[in-house]
Parts: sequence; C-alpha cells; structure tokens
Amino acid sequence: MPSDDVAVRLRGVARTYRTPTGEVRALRDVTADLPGGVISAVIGPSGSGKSSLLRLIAGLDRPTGGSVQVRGIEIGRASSRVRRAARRSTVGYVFQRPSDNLVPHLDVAEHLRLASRGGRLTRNEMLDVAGGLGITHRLSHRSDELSGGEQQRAAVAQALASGASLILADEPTAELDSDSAEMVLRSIASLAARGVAFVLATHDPSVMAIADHRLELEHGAVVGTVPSGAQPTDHLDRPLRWPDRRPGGWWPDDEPVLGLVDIDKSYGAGGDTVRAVDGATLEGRSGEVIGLVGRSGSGKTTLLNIAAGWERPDGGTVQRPGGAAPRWSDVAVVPQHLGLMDELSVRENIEYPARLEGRLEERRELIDDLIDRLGLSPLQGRTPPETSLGEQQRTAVARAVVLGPTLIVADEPTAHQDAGWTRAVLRTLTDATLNGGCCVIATHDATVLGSIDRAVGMADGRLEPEAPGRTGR
Amino acid sequence: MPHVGRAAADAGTAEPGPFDLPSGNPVWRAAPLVLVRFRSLFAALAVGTFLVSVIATAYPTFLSASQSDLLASAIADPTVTRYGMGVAYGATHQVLSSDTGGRTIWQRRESAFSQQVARSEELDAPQVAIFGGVVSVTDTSGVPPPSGIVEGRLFAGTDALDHVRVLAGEDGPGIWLPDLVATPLDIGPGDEVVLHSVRGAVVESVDGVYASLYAQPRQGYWRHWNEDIYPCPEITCAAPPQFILADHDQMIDISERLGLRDAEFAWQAPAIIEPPMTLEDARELARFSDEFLASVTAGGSLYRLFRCCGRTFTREGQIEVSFSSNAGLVVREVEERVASVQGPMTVLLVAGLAIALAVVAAATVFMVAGRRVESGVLTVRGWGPVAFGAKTVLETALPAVLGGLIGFGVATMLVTWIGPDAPVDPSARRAALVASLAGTVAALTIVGVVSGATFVARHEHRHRLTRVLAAIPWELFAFAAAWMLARRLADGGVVEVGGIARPRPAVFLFPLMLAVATGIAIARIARLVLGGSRAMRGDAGAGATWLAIRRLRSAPGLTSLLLVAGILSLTISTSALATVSSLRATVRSKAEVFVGSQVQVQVEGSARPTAEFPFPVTLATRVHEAGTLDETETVFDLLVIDPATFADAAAWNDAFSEESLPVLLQRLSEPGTGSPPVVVANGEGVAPRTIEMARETVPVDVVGTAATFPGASSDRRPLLVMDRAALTEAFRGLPDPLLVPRATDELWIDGPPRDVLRRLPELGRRPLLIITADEVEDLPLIDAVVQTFLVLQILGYWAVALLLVVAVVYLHARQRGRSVATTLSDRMGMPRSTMRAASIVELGFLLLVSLLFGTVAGAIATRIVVPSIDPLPTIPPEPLLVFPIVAVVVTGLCLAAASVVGGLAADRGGRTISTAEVMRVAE
Repeated sequence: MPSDDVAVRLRGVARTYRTPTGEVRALRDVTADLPGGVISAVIGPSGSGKSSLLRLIAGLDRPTGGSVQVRGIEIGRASSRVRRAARRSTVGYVFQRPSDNLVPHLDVAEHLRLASRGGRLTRNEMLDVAGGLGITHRLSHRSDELSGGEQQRAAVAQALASGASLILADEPTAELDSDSAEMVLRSIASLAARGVAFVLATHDPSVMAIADHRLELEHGAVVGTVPSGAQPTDHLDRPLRWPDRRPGGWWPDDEPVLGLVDIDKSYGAGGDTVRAVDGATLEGRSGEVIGLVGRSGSGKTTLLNIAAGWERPDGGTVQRPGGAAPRWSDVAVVPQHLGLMDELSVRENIEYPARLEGRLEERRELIDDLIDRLGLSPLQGRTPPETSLGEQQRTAVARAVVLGPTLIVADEPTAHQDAGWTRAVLRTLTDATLNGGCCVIATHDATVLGSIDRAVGMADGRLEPEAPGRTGR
Repeated sequence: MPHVGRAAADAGTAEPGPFDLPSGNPVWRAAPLVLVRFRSLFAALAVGTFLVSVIATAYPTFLSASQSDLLASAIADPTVTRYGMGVAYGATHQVLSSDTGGRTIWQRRESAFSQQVARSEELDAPQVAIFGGVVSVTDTSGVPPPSGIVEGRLFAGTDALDHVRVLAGEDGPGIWLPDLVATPLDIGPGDEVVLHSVRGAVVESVDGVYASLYAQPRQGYWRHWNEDIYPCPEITCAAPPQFILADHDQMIDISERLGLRDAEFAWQAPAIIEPPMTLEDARELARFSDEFLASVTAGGSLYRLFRCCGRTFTREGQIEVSFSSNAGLVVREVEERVASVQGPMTVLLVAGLAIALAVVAAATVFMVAGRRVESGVLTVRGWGPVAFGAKTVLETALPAVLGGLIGFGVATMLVTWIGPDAPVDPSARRAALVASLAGTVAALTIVGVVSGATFVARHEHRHRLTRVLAAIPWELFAFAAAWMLARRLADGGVVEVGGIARPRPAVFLFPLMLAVATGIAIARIARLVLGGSRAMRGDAGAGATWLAIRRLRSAPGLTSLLLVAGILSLTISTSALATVSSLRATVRSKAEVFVGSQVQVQVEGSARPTAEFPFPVTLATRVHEAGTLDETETVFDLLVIDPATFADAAAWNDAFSEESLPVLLQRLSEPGTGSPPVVVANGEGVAPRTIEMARETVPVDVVGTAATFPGASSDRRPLLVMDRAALTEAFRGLPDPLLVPRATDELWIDGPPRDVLRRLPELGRRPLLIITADEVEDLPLIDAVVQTFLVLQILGYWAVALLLVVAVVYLHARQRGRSVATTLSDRMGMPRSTMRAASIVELGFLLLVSLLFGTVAGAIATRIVVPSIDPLPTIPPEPLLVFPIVAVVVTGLCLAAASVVGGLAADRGGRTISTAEVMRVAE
C-alpha cells in the first residue's frame, strides 16, 4: 500500500499505564497500517486495548513505545502543539460514553458550530448533518434533554461536522437501536465514500459489516482473525458453584416472579406530559429470561425501574420479590450507568453485596467462579477506572448475580461486549435464573435476542405482542 | 469544510425544532455568564477573590489606622504630649510691660507666632503661658506659719485651671493656690493672702485651692515646666514651689507690683485633636516645625524678632529663647514601632494572600475537574492550555470582580468598625484600592495559570514529569532547609536593623519549613501504608472503617494533598499559639521579676506601710553590688524582704525554683544555726558560707536556691535573699549594710497598675520612682513578635477552616459522582449510618492525623524558636515554654466535631438523585 494512502501508520506501539494497583499493559507492539478513505474497524474483546489505541491515534495520549503516524506526522512523539494542531485540522474523535462528547451548557446546534473548523458551518449544512442522523428536532436541546441514543448521534454529528479527514469513534453504535445505528452507519459510509478515513472501535457486527479493513486486538496485541488464548466460551461449560443451588428452583411454579399488570407511568416535561409507560402488562416466571426490545425513548428504562422498585407506577399493580422494599437478594440490577464503587477493586465490588449480607464466606467459591467466567481474574485487584468499560460492565453483572437474586433487572448488559463476552454475560444471567429466579434484560442487541426465552417489544410506552422465544438455552 | 449528509435521511423527524444558528464560537460567547449555572463554583471563586481583596485592602488601611493610633498614643503620652509636640517658645529675662506704652516685645512675638501657626492645618491656636517669679505667701497677718516659710511661683496659662484637680473654690477675680501653700496657711476660697517678694508685698483674694501638681500624675499641659513642678529623684530633694495661678493681666500686674520683672513666656501651639492626625499629617507638622525653626534661627526671616537659639525642651544653661517641637520625635517613635511590625506584617500579608490565592487555585482545580466533559471535548477540538486558561479567566471575571468589590467594601468597613479607632490616610486608601484591583487581577491570573496547568495535567499526559516530581524526596530538602534555619536561630532570632530590633525571617520560616517537611513525610508514609493495606485481606464485613480506608487509598493524590495542607496549617497554628503563650509568659515573668511585682514604688525609708491598702503590698530593699561572697571577688546583690507579706505581693512562678515559695520563705524566717538564712538565686553552684558587706564578714546559711527571684537585676549577678529581721539581727552592733547609696527601698504591689497608681496616695508615702511590669514588657520587638504569631495563629486556624471547607466540598462532589453507587449500596443492604460513618472516618482521619503531627511539629518548632527570641536576655528567667494543651485539646474536639458535620455534609452528596435515576444513563 502506498504511503500516501495510509491514514495511520503504527509501528511497535506500546502503552503501559501505571496505576496504584500496578502496571497495566494496554498495548504491546502494535504494528499496522490503517488506510485512508476507508472504514477501519478495530475489534477485539473489551479490555483488549481498542480505546487506548484510538486515544493514541488522536494524540490524546502518548505511547510508551513505538511510533504513531497520522497523515505522515509522527504524532506519538510530537509536541503538544503539533498534536493539538492535528486535532484541530485533521482528526475528529468520538468518546465511548455519549455524554462525554457533549458540553452540558451547550445545545446540539452550538456543539455542531463548535466542532466545525472555524465555526463556518451554515444553517443548511447543519441541517444536513443533523438530518442525516435524525436529530434535527433536537438541535436546540442540551445533553441532559437527550436520550442515550440521541446523545450518541449528536456526538457522531460533531465528528461529521468537523471536516476532519480522519475520524476516530469509540463504539459509535453501542447505545443505539438498530434504526439509529443504521442512520449513523449510513452517514459514515457516505463520508468514507468521499475520502474521509474512519477508525471505529466496535463490537457491533453491523459496524464490522461496513468496515473495509479490520484490526483485531487481544490483550493489547494485534492477533489474527481467529482470537487465540483463553476465550469466554472455554469456561461456559464449567458450572458456577452456587452455595444454595436447589434443583428445580424454589419459587412456587404457580406464582410469577414478576407481575406487572396494566402499568401506567407519565412524566411532566416542559409543561407537557410524556406517557412513558402505557398499560404495560408483563409476567416473568421462575427460570425465565425475558428480553425487552425497543428504540431509545420507548419506555424500557422506566418499565425496568418500576420492575426493580426504583419507581412507583401511576397505575396498575406490581408484584415482585421482596415487595415494596426488596433486598439485593430479591431484586438485583445492572444499570446502564453500572454504578460500581470506584474506591473498591473489581473483586471487592463483586463481593460487596455478600459482605453486606454477611455471606461472603459462603459465596467465595461462586465469586471465584464468576471472576473466572467473566474474564476478570487478571484485573480483580484493579479498581473500575483502571479497567475498560466492557470489563466494568461484566463486573456489574457479577455483582448482580452474586447473591442469586430472585429477579435480575439488566439494562443493556452487553452493550460494550463482543460476541464472546456477550455469550458469557448472558450465560451467567441465565445460570442465575436456574436457581428459580427470573431475569429481564433491556436490549437492542440481536445476539441477545437469540439467547433468551422470549422477547417483548416496546414502542411509545406500550408493550408489543411477545416475539417467539429463542432459544439456544 | 464540514462533511454533510442528506436531510432526507431524517425520516419522521425532519422538522427542525426552533434553534438559533450560533454566531462565532459558542464556548467563548457563553463564557462570561456560564458560571451562573454552577452556583457553588461561582461562590467559591467569588469567595476566593473576596479574600484576596479583603487582605490586599485591609493591609494598607489597617497599617495606616494603626500608625494613626500609635500617633495618638504617642501624643497622649505625658512624656511627649500634644502640647509638647506643639511648637513652643520660651523667653526669660524679658521686660514684662512696654516701657513706651506700645506693644511689648513678647506681644509682638506672640503675634508673629500666631501668624505662623495659622499657616499650619495641624496646629490649634497658640496657648500662652507666663512663668513668673517665686514669692512667699502668708496670711493677712504677714507672718509665716510655724512650720516655716511657704513659697509659690506665679504662673499664668491659657486654660490652666482645666489642667489641675480643683479641691475647693470657683473661678473669679482672685488667684488659685496649690494645697501645698494653702494647707499650712489654713487658707481657703474667699480668704486673702499676702504675696511677698524682696521688693514688696501685695494682698490678693483666693478663688480656690487645687491639688499640688507634684503629687499628681504628669500631664502634657505642664510638660514644659516639669522640672519646676516635680522634685528631683534624690531623697533629699523637696518639692519645688508650686504654682500660684492667676490670669495673664493679673499676673503681670502682681509681678509689676512685686517688682518681679523677669518671666518666661511660652507660646505653645497644640497639635489638633479633631480630626485626629494621621502619620502623614504628623510628618507634615514635623516639616512645618523645621521650617519655623529655620525662620527663627540665624538667617531666617523671623530671626531678628525671635533671635532664637536652638532646639531643645530643656531650659538648662542660660538660653534665653528656645524653640521646641516634638513632632519629629513622635514621628520617629511611631515609625520605629511601625518598622518593627511592618516586616512581620508583610510576612502575614504574603501568607494571607497565599492562602486566599490557594483558595482561588483550589476552586479553579475543582472547576476544571468538575467540568471534565467540557475540557475533554475542547481537548478533542484541539484547544490548548492557553486558550483554555483564557476561557476560564473570562468565565471567572464576573465572580472575581464581584468578590473583589465586596472584599474592598468589607475590608474598609472592618478596618473602620473593628480596627484602631484612628483615621486612615487618603494615600493609604488609594493604595488599598490599587491593591484590591491588583489582588483581583492576581486572582484572575491564578485562575488562568492553574486552569491551564490543570488542563495540561488532565489532558496532555505528562506522566513522566509527574512521576519524576512525585519521586523526588521533597521532604528531605524541606527538612534540610528547616535544619539550616534552626542553626541560624541558634545564633539568635533577633537582629538589629537601623537600631531597631527585628525578628529574623528564620523565626517565621523555620516553623513553616518544618511543617512542610513533616506534611510531605507523613503524606508519603500514609500513602505507603494505605497502598500496603491492599494486600491485607481484612474481615468479611463492610464497615465504615473498611470503606473509609478504600476511599482514602483510591485517591492517594488528594489524601496526600489534604494531609500536607492540614499538617501545614495545624503546625503553624499550634506553633504560633505556643510561641505566643511562651513569649507572653516569659516577658511577663521577666518584667515581674525585674519589677518584683506588678508595680514597684521606690519610697524614702524602710518603714513598713501601715495604711490600709486595697492591694497586697510588701516592702523590699534591694542593694546592688551589696558585697562579695566567701571573701572572693564574686559580687552579689542583696534583696531584703518581709516574708510575712512577700508571698502575697511578689511575682512568683513555680519554674523559678524546685521548691515552693512558701517553703523558701518559711526557711528564711526560721532561726537556724545562728547564721542568717539566705536563699541564693541567679547563681548556679553558688553556696556561700560567708558574705562581706559594709566591710563586715558574716556567716550565712544557704537554705534554698532558685533559678531566679523577684527583684533580680538585669546584671545576672547572684542574688542573696534575706529576711529583714534576720539581717538586722546578724548586723546588730555593726554598721547597717542597707544605709548605702546603692540601696533602694521599694514597695511591691500586686494589682492592676492603673488602679494601683490611682490609689497610691492612700499609702501615705511619697513615691520617688514608679515602675510597672506593663512598662517593662512594652517593647516594640515583643509587640511585633507577639502580634505576628497571633495573626499567624489565626491564619493557621483560618487555613484549617478553609481546608475543611474545600475538603467537604470536594468530598461532597465526589459523593455526588457516586450517587448511583450509593443508591445501589442502599439496596444491597449498606446501612445509611455506616455510609455516613465512613464519610466521617474519612474526613476525621485526615484532620486528626493532621492535628497529631501538626501538634508535634508545632511543639518542636516552638521549642527551637522561643529560646532564640529571648526578648530581655539580661533579665532572668530563661525563656519559659508554655504549651497550650487546653487549646490543642479544644482544637482536637473542634476538628472531631467538624469531621462529623463535614462527613454528614459530604455524605449528603451521595443522596442527590432519586432512585428513578439509577437506571438512567444521563450523567
């Protein structure tokens, strides 16, 4: 490949972080060329170094070894001034968390103006960018007025409006439903066709599908197309050592674990009333894994909140384990925000519910198994900020199941996992229900839909007829 | 050019909502008012700038008011006086009346003097005084009383009656007699007396009687004639003839009739009282008086009229005309006092500004950290630290200007309300305004620099530099610097500059450096210990301490920073508190040892006071260089006391001797081996068997020793203390060793000096000399050091308070970031009380470790600093170390309470979201 076709040239790139718990080797000897004018996908399991690599290419971080060239400029060892100039003129970047891309006091239109080089964006150009991503009606809204999916699209819109010739995006579709993801990918493909190079870190098969080039990482190193080393699937057959496993479960068969009947919930927003949940009825039985599917803003999170007991419905009845004040062993949750305690290590976060219940000793073997199954063994002594978002998500899943709760409510628990770890997460949640419990998962991930007992659609606050079950279980 | 997509793709949501196409860069456009959205940041930055402005404003205005206050005190000092400070002119041997019927020479001089004085805004109208001749006074029989001839001196002065204590009578056409004249003659108001001179006699009616001035406290009005009012210090001196007061014309008439043609005229122009003078006014007055002096001396425009001579207040010699002004003296005295405190005050100014700017810097760091998303987005957009810093300055301008303005106003009001009740010079007000503006600009500069630096630290990844900086053992450098400063202090903590004693900078820098070193060392150790605790498995629970330890070690940088700041603040406050306590105790003790008690009155004769007196009194006789010890050349001082009354009246500190005062006094008064018992003070290893006094050698029995004893001289000679009765017995039949010129009989009185002096006449003893402990300890150096450390102490506590606020705000914000985790913890079964207790333990650990090591470092600093600034090294005892245990305990309790309150406040940060937000994604 001629050198002028290379957008990014990586030679022996290494990045090691020093943390209070020791060194973390995020990247080791990465050598690759990422071509210009095409879409490159950086793939690999969470924690494999994808985000670190993107930060190095963007000049947001410095390598501890090797060379990073962007458009022929040695950005790895360049001065801060040169790297800033590159970000102003050449490189656009989209952070992994959508909200990290949005200044809280600016609206979407102001963000687009800020992103455009020199603020030269015209009204029509702005409408074109926003229209391509379906956020025209949100141009005057600030980030706290946007859903997660809208935030993500607003973040991508900034990169598109920037006029950069190289755009780096960290999991740009992770928070998006399939329709929104399609809009984003269509916009990306359109720009790539006009010569803009994209480097996208992703687990999303739809992103991989449009990628012209792939760079696969594992444990910080470039690997072949077939991942090597320990894979999550290696451990899936190894049973978790539940201390209180009872064959056949313990929840009465004639009683649903979760019973939501004719649930209504409305919010006041700017003088208007938004009907978030409208007459929803859902029953979850012992041993069942239910998927809740719908676009962002369809009411999934509100329904999960009501199921978990975080919110009271305006109307309808709720039956859940633990009643009005459930304990973690009754209802455990995996929020999208995760809510891990940054001051505790990964292991301590998983142990935390057991410690508080005074059941740590009886759960030690299970905790060891969870850590092993979810690939957290090498980093169990690290604190969450010292791990990747996907690893944090798996920690939150392990924390949710550690007491063998009767009901598990999980919001997008696989959003930042690749296919392998997605299977591990789902298998873990499924195993937890074998104790007689039930699990409700809000998701837009097609992989998830293939691994659950049944899927329930949700649109505009209403539950749609149940989709046929999967199941590979 | 931006890459644009196709609007058509926006299916279903193609209708744009109302939005403004922003012009220019939205970040810059929003910057001036953006902090209005972040009220706590707005308040923190406004408070920081407010503090900077308060300090910058208060310094020059407070200094000016203090100067004016010192000036007023100096003017009120009887040894200077506002009259003495005025321009005075005296003439002797003048013809009282005009021979030609025209104006006399003194009338022409008075006129010229008045014209000159009118040119000065600092001087009131002149007051005229005529100091006439001495006359003898009899009743109308013309015969002196049996007690002897009674004399008085004719005197006329403007408003003189306003400056005496009237005993009886009313103003009228007659004369006023002092009681020293009226009493032996048994004359009262309405009587007539005969005034005699060698050339004649006149009869005058008496309007009233006033208390003779010689027995009254000195007043400024009479300053010019003090030597003609008060007796000389020698025992044999009697009071001079006291003044017979008449009005001007009357006095001239009497003098003419008595043939007394000599008189001394004085025109005094008192300094104005209202409005009070500032130091600048006083300097102007000094310049004016210099000009006046030049005009009346040879070559001056008024020389022919005044034929002036020199510049003195005394009338010694045959100086016929004298000119005098104390303006220059007062200005110098005030300048000396101010100079001695100005250095330390500058240190305090710098310290105060440093703390205030640290608040601004902390608020800035907090602002950048709290808006990490914004800085992250701008980083991606290619912003650099300069642009980011400039943006932050623009954002901060509004709170900074508000804080600066309010600070200027508050400081001005504070100085007016609680500062010295004295005027502030206009130039100081201008300086304050400029300083306030400069402080605000400095605060904004700090904001720009710190935000830029924080931006670099967060986003430009200078990890290697950070690691190198963290690896450098800064505490060793700080300890080395502290050691070098301590060595300097070993050579003395006081240095004389321009004849003015000033504390060395090391006096203040040593505690500071020791605190910094200790803080860094403890922070490093704490970091290691907390890091090492990761390896500890711990129990199976999740208690408050378990959680607090993890919180502390999860933010090692913050923990270290708070520990360093806490130890620094508490070391400074503790060492300042201990230094002030020690200095005060030392100075007071030295002053009281020197004086013997609170008040020392030298009297004539060793008769014990018999009159009832409301304060404890004891009679002591001191003999300097009373004799020698054991037939050697070792000279000793002698203190003869009355053991029965000594303990109640004399100053005593248990540190003076290993034995109590009652025990020593009992041994002194007990008959022992036949030799008079003595206590030896100020003489380590001295144990005489005999002493030689008045050429006689007598054996003595040493019954006790003391490091020092009340009445010890500043010469540090051995002091032998004896019971008066025992001494008398030992020298029975021998020459009285106390009848020597070096012996002084003193009444030592324990009571508030002001009250003691007011009631002194009740003792019925004529005081020859009065010394108070207050006068002895009133040294500019002591004042400077004590004031400096007092303010340092306040600054230290202030720093602790600010640190506490910053820590609580930070922990509160950190808890806010944990709100989802906290809500989940509640669901998992974490008791709220445990969560609160964890916050309390976390904050309490930081504060109490700071207190512990701050107290230790403060005690060490005091132990080294205090001996180096012995303010009166020639006077025993050695510096006393007084450690304020009670204050430290109270501080500990306050910090414990603050930990609880702060911990609860911080914990509230984790309860800021509703449970409905737990599952939602927006941050």
